[in-house]
Parts: sequence; C-alpha cells; structure tokens
Amino acid sequence: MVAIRYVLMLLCIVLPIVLAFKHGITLPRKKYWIITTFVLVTSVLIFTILPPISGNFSDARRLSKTVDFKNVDVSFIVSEIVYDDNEVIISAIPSEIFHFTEKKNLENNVYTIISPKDNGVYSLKLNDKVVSTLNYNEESNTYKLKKIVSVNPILEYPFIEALQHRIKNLNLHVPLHWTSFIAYLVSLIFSIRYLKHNRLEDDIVASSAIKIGLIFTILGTVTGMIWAKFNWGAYWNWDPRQTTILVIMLIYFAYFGLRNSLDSFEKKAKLSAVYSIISFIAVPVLMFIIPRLLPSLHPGGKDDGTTGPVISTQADMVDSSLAFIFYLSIAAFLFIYFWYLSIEIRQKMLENKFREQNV
Amino acid sequence: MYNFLNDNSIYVVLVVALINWFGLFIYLMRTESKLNKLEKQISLNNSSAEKKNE
Repeated sequence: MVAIRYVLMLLCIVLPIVLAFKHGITLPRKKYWIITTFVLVTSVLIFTILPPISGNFSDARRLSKTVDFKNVDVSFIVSEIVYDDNEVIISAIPSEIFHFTEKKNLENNVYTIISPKDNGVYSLKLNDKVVSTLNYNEESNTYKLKKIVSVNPILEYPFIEALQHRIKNLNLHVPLHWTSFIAYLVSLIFSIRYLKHNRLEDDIVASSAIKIGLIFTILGTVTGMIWAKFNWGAYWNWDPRQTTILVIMLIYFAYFGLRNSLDSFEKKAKLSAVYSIISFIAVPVLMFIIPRLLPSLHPGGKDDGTTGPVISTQADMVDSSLAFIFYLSIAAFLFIYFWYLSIEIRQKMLENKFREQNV
Repeated sequence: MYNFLNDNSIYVVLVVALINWFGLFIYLMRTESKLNKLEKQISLNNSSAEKKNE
C-alpha cells in the first residue's frame, strides 16, 4: 500500500510537469489540459469540503466531559438493530450501543429513522457505515443519536482534536508551496538555457515562472496565516517555516527589483538569469532543510517524527483518503500553474513582438 | 432545495467555493481564446508584411 502511495504522489507531481514540457511551455494549452484542470480542481474542491470528519467512541466520551464541549462525529458500522417499545437500539462496531427514540416501520431489516434535529430521513441497513453526531450520557453509559451526518461516505477525514474541520486546509494550503517550488525550478532551468543559447524567449519564460510562482507563495502564506490564527493564536508566529518563506519571498521580490532597475534588455536578461540561478540554491535549503532542523509549530519539525494521521515521516501513518486528495490537489495546482504560466509568457511575447515592430 | 441547504451548511460552503472557481475558470478560458486570436492576427499581419517587402 505504501508503495502505491509513493507512485501516486510521484505521478501527481511528475505527470503535469512532463506533459507541460512535452507539449511546450510557451504554446497555448490544448483542450485536454483545460478539461483536466477543470475536472481536477472541481473534484478536489468537492472532496475537500464535503467529506465528514469522523472520530471514534472514545473521542466522543472523552470530549463530552470537557468544559467547552464540542460535538464529535463518530464513525461506526451497524451490527444489530433491535426494535424496542419506544426506542430503536442500534449496536455498533466497535462494540458500543446507542439508543434512538423514534419509532418507525421495519421491513426487511431496513430501519427508516428520522433524526430529531434536522428532520432528515435515513434508511439504515445492517453493515452500513454511519457517521453521526452522538450525545454521550455518562450516567447510563449510552449514546443518544443527535444527527446522522453521512451514511456510507466515500471518503472521511480523521478527527484530530486540535484541527477539527481545519484539517481540510491541508489540501488548499500545502500544494501552493509545492507548486511555487516547481515554479522556481522551472525558472532555474530556463535561466541556464538562456545563458547557454542567449535567446530572449528563455528569459521571458524564466521571469514569468518566478512571477506566477511568487503569486502562489503569497497565496500560500496568506492562507497559512489565516490557519495559524485559529490554531496557534496569532497570524504571524515567526515559526521557522514562516520565517524561511518570508526570506524566499524577499529573495524573489528582489529579483524583480533587479530586473526593473535595468534598461537594456540584454543586460536585464543576463543579470536576472544569473540571479535566479544563485537564488535557487537557497530555496531547497530554506524550504526543506532548515524547517526540519529547528523545533517548529508546523508538523515535521525537530523531534517531531510521529505527528499522527495528518502528516508523518512514515507514509503508512498518514490517513489514506486525506493523502489521496492531497496528491490530486498537488496535480490540480500544477495544472493551473502551467496554464497561468503559458498565458503570461504569450502575453510577454506579444509585447515583445510589438516592440520589435515599432522599433 | 432551500431546506436542504439550510440544514446542511457545508453544501453552502461548497456552492460558494465552486462558484468562485467556475468564475475564475471562465475568465481564464476567455483570456486564453483572446490571446489565441491576437497571436493569429499578428502572425497574419507579419506574413502579409513580409510578402509586401518581397
């Protein structure tokens, strides 16, 4: 299973890049690219927002005793349904029993129950997987069903007390930074090509790659700040990862400072190509190495080997549905990135053509 | 429909997110096609200018 995950992850990162290069970064996107982007982003949004968060019975029991009690959605499999005089008693796997006080007709082991909170009608069968909000009663050691969230969900995300629904941010925040890393890599490749062949086209690609990459970095930082406010209490915490991403942003802002301070197109292209190559050396160090060497609020810092089902150094620890949508999300953001990149490049080339014609 | 969305607020979030994305996507498509047209026009102009020069 772990091998499949690594293959899938590599595929989601490598395939968009290979397709983009094979088909030509500077050319207009083909129809399959547009359709794939649409399908990928739409499905990532749907499968990020909709899946229920499911904890287990012990979570629900533990948290019902806390002061600021929050509902925990519990996931279980229906193992037995007993019809009592005024209650439906459902046994569940893992072995817990909860009561439901609503009488309904029963035929062929299908029990239609009406949830009191939202008046939704659900048909529960044996062996159905149910995610539901339960109320724990300490005196009788039983659960009362408050609301059925989902029956036989395709995907469910793990319940983590500190994260709650914010766990879904993972799919919309982390891929932005991965994409920006690819962007800076693309710029490195085309900067080297510019110095080799001296073609203005390569300079346009290199600078556009950084421009769009910088937009992704800024978006990632802003989404991270919003997430940080609710998890760590402040928008900016000078966490190692936040500090290094700020340094990367400053480095690449300086790239445009350098470009715009020069008038000659030759000089501009040559200097910025050299600057882009030198600055890329710092990017892997700042993005991947320093944050792992220091103790950090982000998962994966120093002495933080087992951070649970969200992110972990052991791939089989990570929750599988979370990982799957996360990989898809990386592919989706890469597809958008290369699309934006081609538009930016073509616009710059048109400007260039106009300038040449008018000179 | 209204009752359903009223009871399941997560679907409202989904609708808002999808509308945002569809809007951005349509804008991207339009930019793409406009650029295509411009590129074609310019290459046509260039080729006709070259013929005149000959």
